[in-house]
Amino acid sequence: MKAVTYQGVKDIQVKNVEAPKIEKPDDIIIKVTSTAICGSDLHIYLGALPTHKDYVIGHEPMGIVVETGPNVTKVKKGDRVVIPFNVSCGHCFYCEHEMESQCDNSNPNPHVDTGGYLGFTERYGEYPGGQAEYLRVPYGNFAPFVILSLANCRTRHFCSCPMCCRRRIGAWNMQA
Amino acid sequence: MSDVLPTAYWSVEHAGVKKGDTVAVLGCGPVGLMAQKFAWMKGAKRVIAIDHVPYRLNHAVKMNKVEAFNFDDYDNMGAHIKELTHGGVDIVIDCVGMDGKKNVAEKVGQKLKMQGGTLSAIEIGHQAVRKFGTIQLTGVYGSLYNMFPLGNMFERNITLKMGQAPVIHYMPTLFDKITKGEFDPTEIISHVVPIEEAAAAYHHFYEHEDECIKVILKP
Repeated sequence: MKAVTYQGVKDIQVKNVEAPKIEKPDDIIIKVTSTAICGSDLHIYLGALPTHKDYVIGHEPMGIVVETGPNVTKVKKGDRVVIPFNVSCGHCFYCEHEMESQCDNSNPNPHVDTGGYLGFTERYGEYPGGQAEYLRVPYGNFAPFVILSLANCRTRHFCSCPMCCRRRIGAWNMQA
Repeated sequence: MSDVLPTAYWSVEHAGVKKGDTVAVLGCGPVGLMAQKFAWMKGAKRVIAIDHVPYRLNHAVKMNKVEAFNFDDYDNMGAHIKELTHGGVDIVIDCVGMDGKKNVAEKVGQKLKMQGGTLSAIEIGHQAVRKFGTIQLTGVYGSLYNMFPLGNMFERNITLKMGQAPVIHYMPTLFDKITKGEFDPTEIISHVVPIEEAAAAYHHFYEHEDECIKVILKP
């Protein structure tokens, strides 16, 4: 798949990299439909937040669920979701008290006592980022925000369900 | 809604913006622009925006009807804001962080890994805020800092709050506000380009070229 990768200071290249796979039973994979560049991506771009060659950047993705791990109940294939930059387990003290940006379980880096963040280098969990065609999203039962569930859409044609699919799709510049 | 909107919203809530407050927002990038908007929505009576990129200041005025100031036009931006607001603003929200405009010493210090980045935003912020006011740091800071004005903040009873926003629990609230038409998140988007153009997009975004504010990549 195509992905935005770090190659060195101020050197960003779109390269073909291996597409993500489900690694844990509560992972989901999304096909990214829109993904934004954030000011904090510039810390990586400038080398202020160091990373390695070919690291995939990005933490502002949205898209369509294409695969779910066996333990995922919150989302289904076909759901349109926004993925937050916080990587959060949903059941530690911090996640349960609306402090999910400091999740106790999402950052395996032993030198940093913070939560994990998507596409934000080894320091914050080494999660590959969302400026790519596909993204593995950990904690599929907590992280994704469903903006349109195919399962709940009466018509399944994104046109006239009571939640007003068209308006939502329009608001987010998405292609139906 | 992955980051910018909840980060801006949390910044305003975490800073404690309430009805009648005067709020200064440092930075008119995507988060700063949204924080200005949310400060009005929380009932601020006055919202002041500070940056040094003219097209972004213009966008802030157009989008949020703020009082906009270019800090390059003032010898001491913070002192000017303090005077203008008769003693300082209630709340400063720093949406710039360590990669704001650096002075020479800071540039050298950062190269030598002695300085995590610039304190220029904090320099403006701590002078602009009133006694017992609050400074919320939302722009990212890393590492260690020399010359941090801790003594001034102590003697003026300043509250300093900061951090990475917990965004997940804000997403339903914000989505609800968008669908009700309370604000329009697309106002900050300046570019929508194919993902293949990412390298050029990063360049424009960093260099403030082509009136870039927010880039959406389409895979």
